[in-house]
Amino acid sequence: MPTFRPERFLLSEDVDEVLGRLSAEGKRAHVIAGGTGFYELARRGYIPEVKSVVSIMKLGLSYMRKEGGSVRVGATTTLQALLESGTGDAPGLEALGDALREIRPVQVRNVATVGGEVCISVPLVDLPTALLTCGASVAVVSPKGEREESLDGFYIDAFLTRLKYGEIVKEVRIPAPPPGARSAFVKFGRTSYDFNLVNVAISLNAGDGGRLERVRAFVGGIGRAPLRASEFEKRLTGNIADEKTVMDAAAASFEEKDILPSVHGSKEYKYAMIPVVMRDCLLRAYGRGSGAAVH
Amino acid sequence: MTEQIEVKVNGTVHLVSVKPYDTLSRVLREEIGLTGTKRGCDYGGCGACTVSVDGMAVYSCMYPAQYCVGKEIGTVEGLSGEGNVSRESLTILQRSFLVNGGLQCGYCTDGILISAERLLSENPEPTVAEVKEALAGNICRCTGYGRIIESVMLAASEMRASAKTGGG
Repeated sequence: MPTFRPERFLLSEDVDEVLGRLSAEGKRAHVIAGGTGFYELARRGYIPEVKSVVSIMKLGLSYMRKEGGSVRVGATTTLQALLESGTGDAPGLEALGDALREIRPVQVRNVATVGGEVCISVPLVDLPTALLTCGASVAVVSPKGEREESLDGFYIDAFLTRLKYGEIVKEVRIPAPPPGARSAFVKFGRTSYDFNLVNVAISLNAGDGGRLERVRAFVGGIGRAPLRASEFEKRLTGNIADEKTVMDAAAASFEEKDILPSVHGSKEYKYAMIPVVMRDCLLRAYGRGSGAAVH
Repeated sequence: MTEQIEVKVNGTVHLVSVKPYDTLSRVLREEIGLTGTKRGCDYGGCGACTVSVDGMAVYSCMYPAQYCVGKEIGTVEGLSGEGNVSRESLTILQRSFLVNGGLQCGYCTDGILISAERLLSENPEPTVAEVKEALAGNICRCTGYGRIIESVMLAASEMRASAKTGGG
């Protein structure tokens, strides 16, 4: 196994020093926040080339604030702090609360950060699926300035985001959900604390008689990045969904040959589970409203 | 590049040498000699290395050593007073594990004690579901967990009774 032996660990309060080091060292430097995911990858031999570990934990990025209807969450806010803030219990943002509770154990939530969970880009994490469904974006800073990027499009591949060397995510921005929206996240995994095999986050608006007026759905764990279930959204929007319609729409959104297998779940198994988890998630989101049950 | 940092463990400040890739578990075990914190999987999958940092349960195997400066670290040795392992000096929680068979080989126990102790400090009257949630990150391969959960529940009620009577 390749050995992880960086030569420097930078823990600075100076944002210019942090960004400067990241720019100067390029792929020889690796940015970390809480470090939980990073050290797991390092121990497993995935980060052998790094010479400098550059931490953003002292940059004052542990905060949550409301701006207009949106919530801004600093990159080094821990998952536990975000969970305890109740942000993910607000109507329409329940998918976030569900996802945070499903990220176990508490030993990880106490240290792992929102920015880390967004940037690590491991295909098996949970928060990005929920954030994508909630329409979140990220604020990216570099020595050249700041820009905002939608999370939808941020993930290019496993371990690859639109971030360039010398850039960091400063905060995650969660917009106000559409009026009347409700959402949910469901994780299907081997054990309570394991990575997911499939996770699903759905946000929706329902009208009279249970007609779905808006559906936004993402599925994680089955691709190299979270995937949007466009066909699912298309087939269900404007309809009163019965179970068969929901299951068929879910199955039609993905192809078995494209599913990313893992040691605990083959392509076939994960593909078979997608409609089940999507149905459960839809029911959970729908059940949070006051309308009738899904037929 | 090795650097010297101060780490406060169970109330005592230690000056230790750390390398850029060191995590808290190595510092505790090899620099300070507190081997109660166990090394299991070494990447956040088993919970044997659980310690408290500023009152929160964390995996010391994936907690960068450099982050410990200015923090209060708590290990299993600190539960009953460092170095004092006589039966009489054990906490109610520790005695409960001993009396109720909450351990077999014992390798996971130190981490479980920290997780359980953190839970009970915040929630003196947990449900079984809350105990399971708090211990979700601690694997035990001997007991099957039944006796562990029982030990925590019984300790919780004993601690509540003891708090009422003002005992220790």
